[in-house]
Amino acid sequence: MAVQTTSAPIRKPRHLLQSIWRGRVGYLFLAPLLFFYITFVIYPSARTIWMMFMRYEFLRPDRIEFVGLANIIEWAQDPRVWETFGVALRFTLMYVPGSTVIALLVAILLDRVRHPGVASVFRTLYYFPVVLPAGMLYIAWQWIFDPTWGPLNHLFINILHIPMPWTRWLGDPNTSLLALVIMSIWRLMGATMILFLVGLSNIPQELNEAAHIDGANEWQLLRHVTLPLLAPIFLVIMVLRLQVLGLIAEPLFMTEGGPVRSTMTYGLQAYYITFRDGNWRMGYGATWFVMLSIFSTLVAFLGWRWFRSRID
Amino acid sequence: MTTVSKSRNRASVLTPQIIFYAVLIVGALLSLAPFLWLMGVAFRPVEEAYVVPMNLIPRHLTLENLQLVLDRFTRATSLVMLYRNSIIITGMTVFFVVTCTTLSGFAFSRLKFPGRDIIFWLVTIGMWMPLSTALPALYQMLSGFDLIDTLPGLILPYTGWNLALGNFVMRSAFSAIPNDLEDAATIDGAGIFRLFREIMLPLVSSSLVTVAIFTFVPVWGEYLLAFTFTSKVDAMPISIGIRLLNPGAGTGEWTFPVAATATLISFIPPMLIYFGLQKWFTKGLMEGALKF
Repeated sequence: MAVQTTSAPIRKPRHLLQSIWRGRVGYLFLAPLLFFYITFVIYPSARTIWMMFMRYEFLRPDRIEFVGLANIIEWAQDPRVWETFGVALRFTLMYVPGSTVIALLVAILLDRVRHPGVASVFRTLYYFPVVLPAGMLYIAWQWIFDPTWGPLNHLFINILHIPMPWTRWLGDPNTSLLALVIMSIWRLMGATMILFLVGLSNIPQELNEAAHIDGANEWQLLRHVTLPLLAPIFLVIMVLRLQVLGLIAEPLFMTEGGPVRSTMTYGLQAYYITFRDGNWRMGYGATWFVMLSIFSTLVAFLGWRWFRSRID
Repeated sequence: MTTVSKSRNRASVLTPQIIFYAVLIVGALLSLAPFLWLMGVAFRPVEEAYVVPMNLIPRHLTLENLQLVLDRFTRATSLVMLYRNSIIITGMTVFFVVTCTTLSGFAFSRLKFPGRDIIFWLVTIGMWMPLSTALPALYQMLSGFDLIDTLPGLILPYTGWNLALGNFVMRSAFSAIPNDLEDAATIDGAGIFRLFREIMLPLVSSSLVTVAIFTFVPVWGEYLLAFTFTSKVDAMPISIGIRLLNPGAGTGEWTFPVAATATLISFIPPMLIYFGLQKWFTKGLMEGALKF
């Protein structure tokens, strides 16, 4: 006994420094990852938060100074905040339900394909747009939406003979945002579909069979068995898709925020403040970006809490 | 009588099946439609592209647009440069990400040191951090190092922002290796470095492929950083550079079908990976599905 008690402290390192020294090989293996991660992810993110409190105009480095809360006060009074946030919110409210419902339908259909080879062919085709390089797709879709020789109008008007209430797509302030939504749903539906497929494959087959034996029809099965069991996947999708509140690229490349600011999303306005307008007001732009991050994190957290309480 | 009711029965079973597959096929066509249309534009004669309305399906097929684009390639104009930049940027990023995450995955799953789990979760959170929040400071930092409009100016941030998923996948891969193997190797006198290189590394090679694929595809098409950090053709990847080649009004030989062909050529690398490495792709999707 006495021998054991005296030998125990020797095996266990007494100080933190000592155990760090013993784990030095671990840090060595981590070093490359930490170098890239800290230098290009953590540091710039933290520094952007710091820039919130500076008057920092990139093209006027002579006028940099600490201004305290001035940027945040200006942000709170800036009418563009609400205007552009409204645009982003409208995009989100069209895009998130639209893409979620379509992806769920496709996933449910694919899940019922019995032959694994056929199922994988369909899955491959549905996921295909996600793999294509987004930067090039924006151009291709500008062509597709073109009012004169784009295929979309041609298809609707001349082939399907559908009377179109609008034909200018990206050029019409009433439909420009909708056009971006359509493209985004097309481009990323496959990604959401995969999440649902993962969720569906986790539902035990016996559960479906038991429901069938109890006389449940397909709709009842979907409503009372499948959808409730997919609840965690819905949560993941909602949290992930919240990112579109910060949407920048689609309007930047396809409409430049126009026509008449109809696609000027919050993220794009922040981007223009930072990299285009005047002297590139990076300090103020940083304020826009950070405030959105705080808001998104808060919403994701609250949504998660609310969802958890509903599931339990 | 019985045959009639039988065939009616079969019909009533078959009809939903036919509708079911019809819906799936129409959906798949919608998914492919923009791509197929682009192919139709790329392989049609120029005269057929400049008529209103432009037919959805070309009447004649031709390779003359491809010929023109390849001509430009061999004449070393900006298109070659853009393509070359994309290959270097994406290749280097994949190399760095695979190297860093293989080492870190091993450390996070097989080695013990203080703060291991905290560091792991801090890195994993990076999957959900918004890139835009780092954008102002990242620009300022890169311009401070004179890296704006250079290839490293994109490779370095791309590596940083693509580590999280790979790190996650590689840690799972190393964790899946049975402890007995590690014990046996240690008893045989293998040190940590030999254990890593000669025993563990060959066992995680399929996950390495997964990480490489899932780094390659998004980086090849990345646009926001590329658009912000490059403005000259010498450092611009093709995902942004292709915009410079958009046909305007009076464009001479740079016509719409030629531009469509150039766009399609820029699709080739991710498509090769997607269709060629389907097995790894599916595996990666299931392992890292949470990322998307």
